[in-house]
Amino acid sequence: MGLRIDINEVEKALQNLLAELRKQKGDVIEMEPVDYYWSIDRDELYNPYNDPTHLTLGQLTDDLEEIKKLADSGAAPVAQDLVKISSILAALGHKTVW
Amino acid sequence: MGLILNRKGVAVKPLLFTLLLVTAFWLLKTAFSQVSTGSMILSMTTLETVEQILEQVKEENSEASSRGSGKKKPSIKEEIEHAKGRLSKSEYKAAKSNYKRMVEHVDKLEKYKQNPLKYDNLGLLKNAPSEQVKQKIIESRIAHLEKEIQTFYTNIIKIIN
Repeated sequence: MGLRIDINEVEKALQNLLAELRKQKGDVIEMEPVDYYWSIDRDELYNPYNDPTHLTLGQLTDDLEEIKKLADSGAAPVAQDLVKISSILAALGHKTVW
Repeated sequence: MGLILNRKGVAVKPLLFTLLLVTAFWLLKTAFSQVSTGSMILSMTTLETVEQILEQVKEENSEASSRGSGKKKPSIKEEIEHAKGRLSKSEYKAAKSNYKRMVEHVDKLEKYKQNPLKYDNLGLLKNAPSEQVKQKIIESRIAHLEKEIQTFYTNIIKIIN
């Protein structure tokens, strides 16, 4: 049986989460200098039977730039944008306390 | 039974032959149109390595390519256009968007390779504890951009196949 994800639930949860984050921390959040982060190859990421071996470095400032393009110009979103935005959400989760 | 066939043989044989010809012609025509629209291509020839993908994207977006000189195999862009007829509107849009993003990322990778420090937005590379660590960051960043390009490409293949 595969994992079942209800997009409506994810959307509602994200809305609630971001609304609370905005209430707690404001519209713009300044974080300690974090930019590069380790990223696991997608073929290895969901394989619990082997240790990941292919690590690469993502860059939050680069991800933010891509997301900004998406927000500003209405460029057509693609699946990979979910990965980029998840890195930003992860950084917000790891680096803010509330 | 044999008598009936014998009696009508003169009329039935040409009729069957004509029918056979029409069917064969229709089958050939269908097959030809499927090949020309690309719908019979069940899987386009996938590029094996990121180097091949980079080379292909650069080639098809270079000036020489846009002039149409000496192209042998269909470009990724052409493969997407060939597949258009059998894709839904949203699949076609997704394939095109992934292609656009892949091209942008190829350009981003090239620029990064030329000057990694220019893209060190918060100065963490510049302040790396050693030259070895600095080099590792650059290599891992290049590997990441290459992986992203490969992902865009793989997604295009999955969508159009």
